[in-house]
Amino acid sequence: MKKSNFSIVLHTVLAAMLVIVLLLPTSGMATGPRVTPSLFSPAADEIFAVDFPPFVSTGGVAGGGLHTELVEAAFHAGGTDAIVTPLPLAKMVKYYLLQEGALAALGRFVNFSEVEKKELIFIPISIVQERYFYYHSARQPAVSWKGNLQNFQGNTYGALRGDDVSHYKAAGIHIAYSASYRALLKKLLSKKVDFVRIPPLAADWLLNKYFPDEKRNVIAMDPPALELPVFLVFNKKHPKGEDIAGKFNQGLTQIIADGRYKKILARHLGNEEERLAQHMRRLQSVRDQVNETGQ
Amino acid sequence: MASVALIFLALFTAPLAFGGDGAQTVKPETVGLSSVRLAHIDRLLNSHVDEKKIAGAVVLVARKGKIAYFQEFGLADRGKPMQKDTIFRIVSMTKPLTSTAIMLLYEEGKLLLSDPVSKYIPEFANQKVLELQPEGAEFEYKLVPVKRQVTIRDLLAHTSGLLYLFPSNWSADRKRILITDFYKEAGVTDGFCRPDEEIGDMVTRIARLPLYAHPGEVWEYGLSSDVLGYLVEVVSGMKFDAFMQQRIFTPLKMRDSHFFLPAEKLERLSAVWQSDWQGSLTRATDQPITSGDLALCPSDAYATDGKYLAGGASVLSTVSDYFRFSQMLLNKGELDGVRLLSRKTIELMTETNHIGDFDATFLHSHGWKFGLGFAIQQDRSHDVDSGDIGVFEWAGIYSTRFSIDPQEDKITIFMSQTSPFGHHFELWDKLLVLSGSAIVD
Repeated sequence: MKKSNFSIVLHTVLAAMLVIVLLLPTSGMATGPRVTPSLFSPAADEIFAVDFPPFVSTGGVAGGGLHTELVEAAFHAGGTDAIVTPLPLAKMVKYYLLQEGALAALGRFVNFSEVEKKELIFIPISIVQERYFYYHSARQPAVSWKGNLQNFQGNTYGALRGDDVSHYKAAGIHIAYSASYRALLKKLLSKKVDFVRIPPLAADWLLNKYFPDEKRNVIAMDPPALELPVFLVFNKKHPKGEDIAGKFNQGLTQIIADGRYKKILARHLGNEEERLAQHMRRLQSVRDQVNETGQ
Repeated sequence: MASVALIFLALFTAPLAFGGDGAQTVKPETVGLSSVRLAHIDRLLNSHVDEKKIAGAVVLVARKGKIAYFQEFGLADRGKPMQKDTIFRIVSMTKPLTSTAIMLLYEEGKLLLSDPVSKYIPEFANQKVLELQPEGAEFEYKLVPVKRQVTIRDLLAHTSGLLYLFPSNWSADRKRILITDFYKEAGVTDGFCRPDEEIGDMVTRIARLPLYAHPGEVWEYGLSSDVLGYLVEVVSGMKFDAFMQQRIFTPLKMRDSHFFLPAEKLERLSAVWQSDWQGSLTRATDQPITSGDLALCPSDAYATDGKYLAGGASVLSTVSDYFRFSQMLLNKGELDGVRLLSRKTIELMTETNHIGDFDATFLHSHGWKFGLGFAIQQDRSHDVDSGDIGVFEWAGIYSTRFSIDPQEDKITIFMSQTSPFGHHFELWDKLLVLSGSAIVD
């Protein structure tokens, strides 16, 4: 009798297990992940940046690019964390920062209004040097540049849309606009413009990727055209904006002091000591200036 | 004895003829078509050539697996008559080929139609949709998270929310114009001119731009097939053109279908002609043809190699090659003993409405639905007689078009190289009427 009861219980348990197995959803075993909210929930602390290889990039650049690496290292040293999300357009970065109240944006921002600036905290994280480039060919005379825009008079300058070109126009230079550095290089190679202004690191990356056969014909001119600071701009409207900005700044100070910053820089710019030292001096100068003026 | 043998041979081969590019044609009556009625197509096309509406064209009508009508008209280029084996820029007729590539991977269990695209292309995660703000708001739009991710089925059925730029030429829709501006600023093009980049470069950029609508909540003809082409690369590990060659063109013996023509075939490529349909017909130059947000680069087809492989636009082909592809679809996945896809998959692609209550009105009027790469006629109660319910078809922007009528076992293909595309509707509609009314069984 006991044996029979045991058998009934056993069969009941087995039957119940079978029913449970049959009723369990099997979708998890399908080829692809099912659509779940976690797949499209944005990360809590997202930093937006313009796709700007090899400084910031989604793919094809180690560590996400020089600026991404610097920012992530400084965050880490400051005991916090954030994700850099590259976007294709500057207007999208600005939108997220100003309209969506994103934590921060990374870039070479120059066109915030005075009202907007009051709601932002600017922390310089790097310096980007830009140089003029021309296309060298046997049939085309070299464009010369001695530090004065008048040297380019009568030539056509390839400008990025949105750039302030008033100085070029005043110097008698024609302007042709493009949407990106790659488009600028394409125009230079097709001789639609005579010279362009691009960060050498970006020019090198773009020429290697898109125009390797033409790389040797695209010549950088001395002296450098200009240097622009790159900022991590924190949003005071973000609930954690000011707090995280403080931690980030501490982290940045720390990685500059202990040499981690310079190590990352060397990985991207090379080991030329004078170049690295010059970058560090320029960065410190901008940091001092921002500390004094607040922006 | 010899004469008896000759008579025998003549009798035996009487219904067969060869189309000039090796394609076998039969006497129309053997497949239930009227030669007399099909001759109306000659008159229709010749009149269009005589009136300088088009420079030339090739037309094919097949039934019951046999080519019953295959005729070339006019010029392919200056001083160069159109031939049956002339090569055409089929542009958007690339899309059904790309859909087929995806379904090959689907049948191998390498992807599901329900898979989010972000599973293979991570940039598609966290997409946003542009929503217009009420008039007077501080900012014109807001970017809101997608309600659900874009799936592979969305791309195949054009319910992804991705757009083309050129339809904004005739649209006053503010949202469309804003999205088009985003595309232009980010260097996203329709792909009718081949950019100096890999297709993956464009796809990873467009993935991070706002969508026009939430996935599944719109039917909008757009760059979805271009994304699918890149998806083929990601999933198969092969370049898209190599995959198409190995898995579709070679098995189907589509010997003149390419992304970039071999140099020896360039002389067979038709020129593109610009027509005002009033008698002004000029050969397009090497310069792009632009009109608002539409940019066409006919001369790009003369390049024998390049990087940009657009699943929505890049294939060059012939009428007889596209006939072989169409016949495979009509045969439910098989041609000449080669099975490319299963019957069930073809039914899913060409017989199943994947867009719910939306209408696929881009080329058609109401009554047309969309499968996985094809418009499907769901009812005939509209102005255009396109044949039976269940007819599926698509077209290319240089005036190429195909129609497959499963009920009548009939295929109609028209290829010209004429811009602008808009003029061609009347000619195509008439051609389909003539092709349909030639049925006599």
